[in-house]
Amino acid sequence: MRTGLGSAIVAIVTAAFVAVMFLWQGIPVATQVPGARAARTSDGKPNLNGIWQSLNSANWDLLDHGAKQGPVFSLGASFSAPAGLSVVEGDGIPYKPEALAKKKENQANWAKLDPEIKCYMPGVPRANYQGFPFQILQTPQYIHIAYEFASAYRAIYMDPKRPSPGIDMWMGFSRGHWEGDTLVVDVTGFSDGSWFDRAGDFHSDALHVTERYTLADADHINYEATIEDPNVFTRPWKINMPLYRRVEKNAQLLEYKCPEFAEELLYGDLRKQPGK
Amino acid sequence: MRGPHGAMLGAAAILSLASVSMVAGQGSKPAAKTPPPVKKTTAAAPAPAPAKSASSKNARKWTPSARTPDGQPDLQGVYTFASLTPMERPASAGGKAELTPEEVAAIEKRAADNALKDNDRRRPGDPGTYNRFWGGGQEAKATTRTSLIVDPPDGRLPPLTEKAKKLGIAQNRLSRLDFGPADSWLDRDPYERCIAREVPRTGGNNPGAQIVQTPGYVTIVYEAMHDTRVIPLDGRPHVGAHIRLWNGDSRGRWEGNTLVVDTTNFSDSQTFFGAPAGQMHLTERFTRVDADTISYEATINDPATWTRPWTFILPWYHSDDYEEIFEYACHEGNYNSMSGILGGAREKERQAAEAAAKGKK
Repeated sequence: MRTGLGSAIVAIVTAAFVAVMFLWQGIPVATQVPGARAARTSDGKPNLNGIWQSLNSANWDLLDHGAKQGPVFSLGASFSAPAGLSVVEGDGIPYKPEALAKKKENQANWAKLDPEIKCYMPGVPRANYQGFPFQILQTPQYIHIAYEFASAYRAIYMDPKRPSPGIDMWMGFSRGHWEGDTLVVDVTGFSDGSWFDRAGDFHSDALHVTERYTLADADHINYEATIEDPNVFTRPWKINMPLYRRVEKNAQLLEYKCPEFAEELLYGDLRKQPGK
Repeated sequence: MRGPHGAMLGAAAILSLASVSMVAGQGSKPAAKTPPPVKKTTAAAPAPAPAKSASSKNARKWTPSARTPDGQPDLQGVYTFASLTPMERPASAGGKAELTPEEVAAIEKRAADNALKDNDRRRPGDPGTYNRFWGGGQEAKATTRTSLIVDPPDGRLPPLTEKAKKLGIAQNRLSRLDFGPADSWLDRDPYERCIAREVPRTGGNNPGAQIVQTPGYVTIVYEAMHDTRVIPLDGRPHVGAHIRLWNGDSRGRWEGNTLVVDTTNFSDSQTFFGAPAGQMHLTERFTRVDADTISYEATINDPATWTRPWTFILPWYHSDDYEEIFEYACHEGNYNSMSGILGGAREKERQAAEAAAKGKK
């Protein structure tokens, strides 16, 4: 809201784009909108604009996992957990010993403790592999990502020197730059509220995520996230996965405003009881 | 951000909306107790836009022919729609629609002087409420009119339909927020439940938005309730009638330099002025009038609630005090508030039952 220290803060958005030459390199265009599916944006960068989604079960567990019974027995086969291969590079997640104990405790009490269940903002990188669509809105000065889950969003400021606001945020503070054709995003300023998955993988407020988005072709992004947190892990570790474009002509973000799905869980004991 | 400003930001970013108390959400830094010093606004308010900030530190360039790279008229920027002008023309206006520049300046000065004072009308035990800092603070501006409503010409909401009268929605919405029933969270406003704000937005706390334009889309990013309206411009039809959305389903088109956004498919759980919004057809018109100002006009056509359509004009303007949209973790910090509202109601019931039992003895 209020910056107050204008001299220290460069305006996120100066008034207008400087008109730059429109380098529309026509690849087959799926919509009537010029530029919407061009391979490159007006400033010559890879065009990440679009609606994207992961297609894996990493949100259940970043590591190898077999299928298992869901927590609500009455929902049987419909709401149980699918199997999946690890998205973590190398040998698992390098927890410090005491942190590993906490992860195990989280995992054992997942249904009570996972912030996703309460509809809290998912954090980064989890927001990218929850399985909900998200839309990338790319401009030269900032890249905005709108997530369907919980209507979470984040702005990636394309200014690596932009000063951090110095406050903790669920979705972190994101600064981006291009390394060749790869968008590199440095995310800091996290609260310790979010988790990485439903297997209890967690972090502290010292979390530092470095994301890399590389277009593999028009409809796929190679997504990587390097995770550092000296309070929890002994070394940096990395996940990677493809992100898939939602290619339906009528694809659009809808709403998953989940506070209303969590209220009974959060406040049910305070509801007026019949007869009282 | 550093110092007290940074701490204040923390509170703003995780502002919890429940009316009974304001809590800091998880992961927040402690909130500052002292607001920053009052910055005097500049006087004079040229019509019809709000007074321009003469102290704009960040030169904003714009001409009517400015276009985004894909050829859209350029609306981009961060704006606030805080306004000192009431939605409806008050009786004190004596039927007058327009204000003189001197009257506008007086309204803005009075508001700036009082912006950060404690709104000390609390009852004993009441934790207090927001002062104007939260609603745009000392920078909030007045329009040159006595009401935001421009149609009907009397500046007042049109009469309610018979159906709406039966629903009893004429009551002041704020009184519902403060004192309404609390048998369950479902009795509370979606705003208080951290689900949604009204569409169209008419002010309130954290009244800021960013307009982002990309090929084929205009996107509005609202700070309060961290909502994004991604508005396609490709002429596609609305989603089917069975999909109902808190923010509705928006389609945009350009009419000259004006972005016209047509929104339907509102959920009946969503409210506007206390009325279920399910039948509302909203037409918004965004026109940039200068480097710092967008004229925002909204026409509400809701035959279930009002006997005729009505229109208000609320300027969106640049403010040096509102140049960035921050995270607004509402639900994440709402547990104590909603638990307090419901738990307080249960406690009152318990005390009443106890008193009744005593009376019987």
